[in-house]
Amino acid sequence: MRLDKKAAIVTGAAQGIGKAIAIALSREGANVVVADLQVRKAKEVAKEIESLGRLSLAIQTDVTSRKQVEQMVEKTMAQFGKIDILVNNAGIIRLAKVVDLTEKDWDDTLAINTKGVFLCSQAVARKMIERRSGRIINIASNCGGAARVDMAAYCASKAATIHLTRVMALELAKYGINVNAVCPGSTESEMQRDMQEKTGMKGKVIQGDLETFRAGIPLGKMAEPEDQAAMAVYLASEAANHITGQAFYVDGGQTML
Amino acid sequence: MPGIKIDLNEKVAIVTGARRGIGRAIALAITAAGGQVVVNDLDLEEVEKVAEEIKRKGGESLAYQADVSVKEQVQGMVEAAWKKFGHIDILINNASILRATPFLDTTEEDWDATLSTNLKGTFLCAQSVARKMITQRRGNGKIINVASNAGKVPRTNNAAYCAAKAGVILLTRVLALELARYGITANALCPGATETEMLVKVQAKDDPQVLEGIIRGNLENFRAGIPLGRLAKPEEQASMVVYLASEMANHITGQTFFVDGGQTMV
Repeated sequence: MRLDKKAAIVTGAAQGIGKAIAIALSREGANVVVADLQVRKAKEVAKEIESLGRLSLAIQTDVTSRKQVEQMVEKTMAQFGKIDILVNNAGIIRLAKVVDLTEKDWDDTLAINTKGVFLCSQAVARKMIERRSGRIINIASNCGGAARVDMAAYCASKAATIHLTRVMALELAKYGINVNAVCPGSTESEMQRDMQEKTGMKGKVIQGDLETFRAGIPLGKMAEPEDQAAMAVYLASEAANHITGQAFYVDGGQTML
Repeated sequence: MPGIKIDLNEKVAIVTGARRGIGRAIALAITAAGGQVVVNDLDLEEVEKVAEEIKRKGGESLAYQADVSVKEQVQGMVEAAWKKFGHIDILINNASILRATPFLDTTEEDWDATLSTNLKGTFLCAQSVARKMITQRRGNGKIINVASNAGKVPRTNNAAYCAAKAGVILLTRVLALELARYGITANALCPGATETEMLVKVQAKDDPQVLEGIIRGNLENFRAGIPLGRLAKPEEQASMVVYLASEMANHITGQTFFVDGGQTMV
């Protein structure tokens, strides 16, 4: 799965799945921009990548701001001269019953999880088109296919991301740009830990919980961030040349859609 | 933590329908990743050539003639694999037939033959191999069923084939559900139009115009084209299978992977 001398941007790469993807891409030889709102943590990830002998750059970026996204792209071009891989990973989750969900929670979630994907993909695709090649990988969620209580905004944003993936795949195919989505199930990450504490779902995610209409994970464990990263690396590699417009679920069999 | 390197050393695989096309490419790709392969087919003479090719490349192989729709023959194959290698880690249910016939002209024989090989064959092989995988307790058994994007979207002149492949996709999910507790994953590959004899000779009947219609789309058959603008290569199907057979895919089960240049996106 070599990605030697490829230039990648990973958003939301300061922790969790994004961090695992950034490190996995660099292990395969790629130089990686670590974009995140949390610049201090992003810099630590960039340092870790540099210690692997690759180039890295931490860029503080709010993916919902077109101006900041454009700056991220320009800085990457200035440093690496090209962008081969974009991983749209930045995401947030706000838990609330749909009847209680505030407009602000809705707007924030859709802005980061969906509009952020649009803005980053558009800005990066314009650069990829010049070189007639590129890979865009959107980190959606298995909740983009299966409904979950208390996650109306998150589910809707991720479903929209999955379908946006397909439209981008259709329009960008002629430029040699493949666009795919990864749909992680419950993964050992900061966001997951935080969510389980808030919902009292600790221990119920793996076995399932009938009260919330939630089936368990047949493989009997949560995913590691590296399980998700492996899928992203595969999709970024030459082995996936003929794959586009697809959504790949890495969730231990939880949804099987 | 899974490695990023695909390494199938010490792994034993059975690939059905391996004499040509996608099955052959899968057998060779597993060999290249370090695995040992039982290559099955109805046509022994042809599949022996694939086994020879594997051996020339430094791999271990056994050619085995079996009709996947006949239980005794499937059991014979599994016992032979077990006897030679002592374990079975990977099963690729790839054997398939396609009879391009309009629905109204499809005979009962066409229907039975297609469903027998494409669907019942997957059931028989998966059951027989899964029983071995459970007893050997090596963990991480991998079953990969080669379905088709036509198992999700309808195609004219392919009623039996489409129904059989849709059956394979849902059978895959039930296998995944029931076998998860034994550390066995089950996933399906859905190839789109791929440069194989089955596509070029059987489906397109060697007609370049038909092939062009497959790539560009054909409105008469309600068929959209392939956004990436070309057929898949058998090796592109094989690389997805090898990924799913590797440790990189340990947390993936019950899923369907479309390698079709963006033709379906479902």
